[in-house]
Order: sequence, then C-alpha cells, then structure tokens
Amino acid sequence: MSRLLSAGFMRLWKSRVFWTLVAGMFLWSLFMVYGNHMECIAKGETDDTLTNFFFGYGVIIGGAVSIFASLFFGTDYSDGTIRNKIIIGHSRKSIYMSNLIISVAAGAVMTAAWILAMLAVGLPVCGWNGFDAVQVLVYLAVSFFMITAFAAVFTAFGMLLSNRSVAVIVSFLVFLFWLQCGAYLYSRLREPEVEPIYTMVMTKDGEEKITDASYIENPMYVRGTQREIYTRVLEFMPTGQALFLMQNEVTDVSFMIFGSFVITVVVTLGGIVCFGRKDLL
Amino acid sequence: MEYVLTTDALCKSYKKHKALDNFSMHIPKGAIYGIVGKNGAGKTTLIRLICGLQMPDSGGYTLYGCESKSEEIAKARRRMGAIVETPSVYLDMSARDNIREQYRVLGIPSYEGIDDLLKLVGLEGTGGKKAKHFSLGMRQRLGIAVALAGSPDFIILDEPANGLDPEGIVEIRELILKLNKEKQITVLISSHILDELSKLATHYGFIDGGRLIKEISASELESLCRKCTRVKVSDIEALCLVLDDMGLEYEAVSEDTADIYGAFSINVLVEELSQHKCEVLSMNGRDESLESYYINLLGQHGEVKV
Repeated sequence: MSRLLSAGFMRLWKSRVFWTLVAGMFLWSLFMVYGNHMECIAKGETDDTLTNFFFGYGVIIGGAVSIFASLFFGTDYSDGTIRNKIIIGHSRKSIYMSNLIISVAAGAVMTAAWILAMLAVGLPVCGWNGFDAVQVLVYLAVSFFMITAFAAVFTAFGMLLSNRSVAVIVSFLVFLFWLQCGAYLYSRLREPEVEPIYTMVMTKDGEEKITDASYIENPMYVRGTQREIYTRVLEFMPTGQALFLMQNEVTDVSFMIFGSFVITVVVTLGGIVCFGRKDLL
Repeated sequence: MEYVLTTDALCKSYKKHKALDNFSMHIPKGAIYGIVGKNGAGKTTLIRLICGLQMPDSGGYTLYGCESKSEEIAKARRRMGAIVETPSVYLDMSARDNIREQYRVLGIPSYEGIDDLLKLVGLEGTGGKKAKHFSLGMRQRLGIAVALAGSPDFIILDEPANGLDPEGIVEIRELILKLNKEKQITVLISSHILDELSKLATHYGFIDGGRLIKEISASELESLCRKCTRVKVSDIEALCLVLDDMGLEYEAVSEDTADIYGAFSINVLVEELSQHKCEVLSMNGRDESLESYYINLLGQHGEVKV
C-alpha cells in the first residue's frame, strides 16, 4: 500500500482540484475574520474574539471533502487509470484504503489552511479569548475524527460511483441533505423552553406600553428522551459535530469521537466489500 | 509448450447476456496472440477478466503458472501490462509525469528508465505537454509506455488500432513487433481489423458469442489459406488418380470437389481427366485470407472490418 500512497500523494501534490479547495478554505477563513470584525465594529460590540468562529470550518469541510473525493477519485475512473493499479496486482482493498488515507490527509490540509488564515490574520485583528490549549487540542481531535468520517463517506461515493459527474452531484447533495438534517435537529435543540407573552396597551400619546409579562411553554421545545435522542444523534453525526464545533458547544467529546469512528469503520468496511465486487470497465 | 496464459472454461454473464461461455485458450510464450472476433464477441470481457478488473462467474485462468484464485496471482500480474479499450493515462499530466506516476505505483525507486521508455514509444520530445493535448496515436503510445513501465513479459492490447489514422496504425504495429522481437514480450492483442492483425500475429484465437471457436497458429493458418484451385468433377476418384499421377498436392473437400495446391497446366489436367471419362464441372482459383477464413469459420459476414 505504501507504493499506492506514494503515487497518490504525488498526484495530490499536483492536483488542481486539491489546491483550489485549499485556497478556497484559506480565503473563506479570511472572509470570516474580516466579516466578523467589520460587524463587531459596526455594532460597537466588544466581543470580537477569534474563538467565536475559529472552528467554523466544520460545516464547510464536509462539502469540500465531498467535492475533492468525487473529483479526485472520479478522475481515476474517467481517465481509466484505476486499471493500471489493478492490472499490476494491487489489491482492491489496498487501493481503497490508500484513497481513504489520501482523502483524510486532503481534508486535514484544507482544515489547516483555514486555521492558518485564522491564526495569521484573525489572531492579530480579533484576539483570542476563552479557550485554553487543552480545549483547543480537544476540539482539534474531534475535528480530525469528524474529517475522517466525512472522508470515509465521500471516499465510498468516489470509489463506488464510476461516473465522475454523478459522483460529484450525489456526494454534494448527500452532504447538503446531511447538513440540513443536522441543522434541523440543532435548531430544535436551541428552541427556548418558555416563550414570553406580553400584554401591551396603547397610551394616549400613541405609544405601546407593556402592562404585563408572563411565560408559556414553547411547544417546539424538545424534552426528555426525545431531547436525549436528538442530542445523541447530533453528536454522532459529523454534520452535527460540525455545528457543535462551530458554536463552541462540544460537550461529550468521547461520544463524538466514537460516532465518527463507528461511521468511518462501518462505511469503509461496506465500501471495501462493494468495491471488491464491483465490475470495473 | 510453455504457456504464459491459459484460460479454463471462463464464464461471465451480465444480467441475462452471456459474454463469455466456457472460454478456453492457450497463449504460448513469445507469441503475438491475436484474438479475432466481431464487436460484442467477448474480446474485451476476456481481457477485463484476465486483468482482474472483473471476476469470472465460473472457470479460471493461469498466468505464469499461478491460478487466478490463488494469492500468487498478484505477483504474476507484476509481470504484465495492459491497455484495456482506451489508454489509461492521466490527461492533465505530461507523458513523463504519467510514467513517473506509474513508476511510483509499481514501487520503482529510480526514474532512470523513463527517457528510454519515452524514446521507445517515440514521445521523447513532448516535454511538458499534457496528455489531453496529445493525438489519439500519441495517447495510445503513452498508454503502451505506461503498460511497459514495469518491464512486463506479457502485454495485453485491446483494440490498439481503434481510431488511429493509417500512420498511427503503422507506428503501433512496428512498436508491437519491436517489443516482441527485441524484448521477447508476449503479446495478446484483440482486434476486429483482420488485415492489420494478420501482419502481426503468430497465433490466432477466433471468438464468437463468447466461445473460442478455433485456436490456430499463423503457420497453420497460412497453410490453410494458401493459394489453391478448387475443382469440381463428375468422378472424384478419377481426379485423385490423375492428381497422384501428376504429383500434385491436393485435398478432397467433398464427394465431387478437391483443392489442388501449386501451379499446374489446366489443359493437361482436363485431358487426363477426359481419358478417365471424368468431366470437369467447375474450376476456380482460391486465395483465402485471414478475413475469408474468419468469415468461413463464422459462416457470416457480420461486422468484420477490412
């Protein structure tokens, strides 16, 4: 497998798709720093700290990996070069695993580009507040496993869908759908438990005046076992983890890592079995 | 005879379509083995199975003495290279980078042989030009260079002349002959361009409907295809007697017809036959080519290209 990795990384180094995505992550990160800083200035807010959006890459990296994996591995199908590896005796399992490792590495480099831009430009502009080194390392560990899970899923699509265009579209749509599911669950968890009800009267001067305020239960608030399930599902899914990372709300680190690990192992084993049986052209 | 590849009752179906049906063939070491068959006969399916791109439903093959189901087959595959349908090259890479990439896949630490390989296929002057800007012939030659990167003893070429102009066809033909003669590389080549194949092959396998219907060496085929005169007479025994007396080589092909090989005087033959009260009913010259042999073998004209 080392030979496949060597060849794969050489190709990665020369890949236009890869460097475009790395540049995209870098620029997006700069845009986030700039946009947030300008908003803080405009609103006169003092809470302009890098930690507010430092881990915001979570919701972007999945999409970037989906595009990368489907285009990079799809080229092996469209150019027919996957045959060169099999004809000379590399096992399908080795080809699959080496591609997964390349996918994870590409995702990690793209994330590093985001972080680099944050540190290089965001740190001097916005400053750092509220996170110590251990917390950062924990968040980075969760991020790494999350990227690995994304890479496992989208490597599977890239390896099992022979048509590159179809692979790109399907992978990105799956990512968007997955993110949407996460966003829905997350928004339900963010619903307030009670909602204020205000009684207002109109004064003679034409002004509205609150005369009474009470609270009622919010019917959208998720309670009990359902809340527990929603939370666990979100912590299990990489897209849910991405949202928690973005909001700096990572709590159950071990469960999140476990979730990513399970997704990675199950999807990879399934992918290897399916790829092993696939008739290549 | 030492065989590089033998297949044993290979079967492969796609849904209800049987692409290969009990296909058994034998490729001797050092041969240029031409697989001849019309479109959809099963040539590419056979190559895909041999290359490990697809698995047979049943049957197997032996490559350099290694059974297809054994783990050693991976090692045996190191000794082969192939082009299946289209050249397998990265279009956004130069010729040199493509070979370099294949060197890495093969685990060859030094890039020293790349220049020789590019020279061998006539792509030494392409520089940084990307393969997507190559002509089809250049891509085909690059595909062969990639297939040759591991210094294989056996290469498989699936329709290498497809889409090439006449000059490109000649270039590929000369390259294949060079590889076979100078590097003793055994070649399996599939084609439905029979005229082209007849200039290369030392052995032939005729495939139709997924079955190998005939396996024959080029010399055997030549003897079968050599010039002859087909004579139809009223008395075949008299004809045989006369031909024996005249010392001519012949073959009785039916109860009233014989093929006579070599030159002879028609007047003398007719005169001799008339003395035996044998009448000549018809006489025509036959010059059987690979194409006519193939058509006779299959009993149809189908989609054969000349």
